[in-house]
Parts: sequence; structure tokens; C-alpha cells
Amino acid sequence: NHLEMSDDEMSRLYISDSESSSQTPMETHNTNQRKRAIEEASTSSSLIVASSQSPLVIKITTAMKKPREKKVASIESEVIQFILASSARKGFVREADVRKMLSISSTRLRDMALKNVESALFRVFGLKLILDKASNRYYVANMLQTRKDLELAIERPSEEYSLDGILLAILMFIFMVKRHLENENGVSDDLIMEFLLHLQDENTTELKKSTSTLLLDYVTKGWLNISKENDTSGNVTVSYDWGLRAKNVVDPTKLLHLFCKIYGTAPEDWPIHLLAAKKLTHALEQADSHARKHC
Amino acid sequence: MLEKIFDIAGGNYGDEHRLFAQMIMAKGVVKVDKVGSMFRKACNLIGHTKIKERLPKERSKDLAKSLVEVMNGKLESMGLRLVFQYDEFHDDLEHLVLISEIDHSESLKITGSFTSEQIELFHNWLTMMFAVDNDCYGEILVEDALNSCTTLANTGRIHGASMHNAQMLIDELRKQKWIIVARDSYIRLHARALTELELVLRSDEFDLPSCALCKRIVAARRFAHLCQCENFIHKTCISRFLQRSNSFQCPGRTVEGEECTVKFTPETLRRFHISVVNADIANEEEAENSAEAIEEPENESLAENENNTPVRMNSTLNPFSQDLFDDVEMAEDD
Repeated sequence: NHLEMSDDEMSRLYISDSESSSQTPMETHNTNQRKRAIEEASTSSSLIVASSQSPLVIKITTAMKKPREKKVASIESEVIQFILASSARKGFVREADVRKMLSISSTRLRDMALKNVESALFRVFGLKLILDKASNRYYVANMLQTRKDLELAIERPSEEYSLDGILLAILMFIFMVKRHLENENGVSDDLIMEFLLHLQDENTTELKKSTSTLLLDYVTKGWLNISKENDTSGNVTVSYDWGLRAKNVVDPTKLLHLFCKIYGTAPEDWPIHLLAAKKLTHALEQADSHARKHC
Repeated sequence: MLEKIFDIAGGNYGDEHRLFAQMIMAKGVVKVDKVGSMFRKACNLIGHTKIKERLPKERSKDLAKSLVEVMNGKLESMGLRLVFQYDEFHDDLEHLVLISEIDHSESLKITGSFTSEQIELFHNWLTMMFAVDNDCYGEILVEDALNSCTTLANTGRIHGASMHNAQMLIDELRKQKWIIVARDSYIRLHARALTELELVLRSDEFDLPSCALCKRIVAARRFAHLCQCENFIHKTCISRFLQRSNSFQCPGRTVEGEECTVKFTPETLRRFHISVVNADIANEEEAENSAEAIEEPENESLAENENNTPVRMNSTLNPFSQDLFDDVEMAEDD
């Protein structure tokens, strides 16, 4: 029981601060300070007692430091699991939820914790966290080689494979229909709806409804981006384009090659699209390499 | 070429491990004898090395051990861990489970698949399963599980609970491999639940005993042997040890702390109406079904006989016949 230590034993103790690496003899501290130091050391599990041959040394960190470090590490684990679970269940993670979980008083520690989370997701799972500032949502993107083969999801229930196929078809349609000009909004929802209904070889109200729902689901999960514009007559034009998640995951050059394979042409027959694809693929590869370096 | 897969698995943590981590995260639990094919798929998808040969099932455990050692080093920093768990009923069936070691927190609750009412209902079923006066300790009948929600609704503990909702919960728990519904309509915990909920099941609330051999929880006592030394041993553990020798001594200690001198022989398993030989045959047939599921994932149906009915195991009055077990559930690809 440290409180039963004799004065002689106490006089052989040093208090060492791990931050500054300095040691001050305990005897220079008053009894209350000594007792407090030992109690803090015991509760923060930082009490280290050297062998009886040498002066007893108690390493004491500043009272809040070690417990806070441990707490940050466990918060990071919780945030990582939250991100994985939320993105698996809903397809996205609300930025506000992550910020709430990272409610660490120190801004520096909070930012560092978020960086650690991003780094851990990439290091362990090959997943990248993408923040869409427009919607204040994070999306989780698969950065592994597999995405270059247009495998959007791994080991999903087989009934969901068809959804990936429809998504790829939509992304391909948007990419090929666009003229790839600056400030282009995407492709109108009428065109996409017409394409999808033609694909399903039916045109019923019920099918239109379920197709609209499907498109909105893709928007929610970051695959598509929706924009609305009012024209001069007050009509609203709704357009769909690639979402942030698709831009980070889908290789447009690979998609163009697949289109040409289906259509029976060569990528060179589509010079505008080929140029756009090469630019986007290059940007994607740069972002990849940047992410790998920093994680 | 086969050794290449072991080199990759036991080597530096790379994209193959990352992809495998994604796969296992999506499933939550996989059979150990499928780990080989999953990791091979991961290696081939990543593309650095193409592995054409299939790994024999008997080597899948070795590969899984190598993978777990490498991957747990990374996963533990995230509060995750891969754990092996034997099945309580099927001999030689072992699972690899990805568990979270974080204490249940409010923030993680909102991402869960189940509402708080459903969790309460499941908790109630656990209480029923492990009630002292439960004749079939560790299991409950589907009928009793459904009826219990009426009682809970009457006591006001669960609002709006209905049999329909309870049935949907059972279906969802089965789908996510938290429970198994056997053909005799008994519900018991899947290996995944036994692993994830181990701390809860060992707590004072349930206080489940450990198997003297594997040291894991003994849940369904119908599939466990109670030795004279008052220690429980899984029948599957006894069966596994008897494959190595004709008899072995109980590893348990008596209440007085002395070594137990009871010897286990194939005769011990006769009580379960399954001999080691029959169990082997039963396992062989299921293994063939499983092998088909692994090698040709597109054709996930059970092996069929000429009458196009699923192949059934010996289904006499044997309470431990494979017929009682949810063959469709377990034979399905994960």
C-alpha cells in the first residue's frame, strides 16, 4: 500500500514526467503532492516500479494525458465500426454523426482521430472515406484493384447483383449520352427513365414508380447526383449525373471499353468520350496514389 | 502453386487480406472449410498472382490459422477480432466469426439491424432458453418463442409486438446467422451468436458453463455430455477427440479439485444415438453437399436423388438425426 511507505522509501522516489523526460525527487514535493502523484499513477495504470536495487521510480504522466489517449483510441475504434455498419446498412454515413462521436475537446486531437480513422479504414480494409460537402455525408469507396474490373461490391446477396448491373448500365448511359462539356448538368431524368423502361421492355405506372425509387436510392447512396433547374417557363428539369461515390470508384475508361464491346465499336470511334475517360481515369489514379501515400 | 496461397496468407498484410477482410465483414461468419476458396477468390480478384488450384478442404484450417494470425494484428486496433468457433451439433464443422470487442454503445445501436423492441424480444428468448426449469436447456420451441411475445405485450413490456413481427424477427435472425431453427422446430443459437455474445452468456445473468475440452460455452445441453465430475463437454468435441484415438480421459476436475478419471469412448456418444461411424457418414453426405456449394456457387441447391427430393440423412427416431437440423440453412452457401 503506497500510503504506508516510509519517509525513507518516499525519499528514494522520483517523479518523472514522460513528456519532458525530467525527473524530480519526490522529497522535493510535499506529502500531499506525493500522495496525489501516487494515486494518479495508480488510477491511470502508469505506475511502474523499478527493481529494489535502484531508486524506485514512478513514471507519472500528466493526469489527463494517458486516460485521454486511451479514450481517444477507443473512440476511434467505435467511429470505425460505426462507419462500417452505417455504410453497410444505409449506404452513407452522416457527417454530423461522426462529428458527434468525435466530440473530443481538443481540435488537434479530434482532427488527428479522424485522420487515424481514415487511415485505418484504408490500411485494413482498402476503403476510402469520401466526404460529400453538398450533402454532408461520407461515402465508403472500395479502393482495391477489383473496382477496376467494375466489381462494385463484394460478396453481396445474389439478389442484389442485378442492382449492380442496372447501376452500371445507368452510369454507362450517362457517360455516353453526355457531351462532356463544362458545367454540364448530366442527363435528364426523362431520358434515363426512357432508357430503363426500354431495358425492362415494359412501360407501366408501377414500373415507373419502382424505377424512380431505384434512382433515388442510388442518389442516397452516392452513386448518382441529382440536380434540379428551373427554366424560364417555371418548369423544373431534373438531371442525373455520376455521384461522388461513382467518381471515386468506377473507372470510366474501363466502362467505355465495356460499352464498345457491347456496341461493337472501338473506343477511338468516340474521341470526345475517350478523352474525357482518360482525364477522369488519370484523376482517379492520382487520387488513389495520394490516398495510399497518406494512409 | 498451392504453397503460394499460404505464402500470401501468412505474409505481409496486402490487398488480398484487405479484400478478404471486406468479404468476411459482409458475411460476419464463414465456415472454416470455405476460407480456402474465399481467400483464393480474393487473390485472383486482386490479380497479383493467379491461383488456379483449389485448396483441399483439410488444408483450409491451416490457411485460416495463418490468415487469422496476420489479420488480427490489424483488426484488433479497430476493436475487431476473428475467432474460431466449433459448431455444437455438427461434427467437424467450425466457423470463423468476426466479432466486435467494443462494449455496446449508444452510437452503434442506431446502426444496428434490429429495433430496441426486437432486441428486447431476443433477450427474452435468451432468458427462456437458459431458464433453469427449461427441459431443453439452451433451446426453445418456435411456438413458445412466438407465444412469448403475446405475454410481453400483455405485460406492457413490448408495445405492438405481434406474432407476425416475432416470426419476421426469427426469419431475420436466421438470415443473419444468429439462430438456427432445426426441423424439430427448436431454436438454438448459431455459432456466430455464441461467439459474439460470449461475454453476455458468461455473465451472472446466464452464467453458462464452459466445455472442459474446448473451453467455449456450452449452450444447448442436448448436444453436451455431463460427466461425473459435473463438467460439460460438447458431443462434437468428444467426437473430434475420438477420431484421434479410441478413448481419452476427461480433462475436467472434480468439485474437490481432483483430476477426473472418467474415460470417454465411442460408447459415450451412443447416448446421443449417433456413433462416430454414423456421424462420419452423415458428415460425408453433408460435406458433399457443402463441397458442391463451394465449388459451384451458382448451383446452390442441395444434392438431389432421382425423385428430385433433397437427400436426407438417416431419420429414424434418432433425435440427433441430421433431419432435425436445418439442412437447407447449413448446407447453403454462406
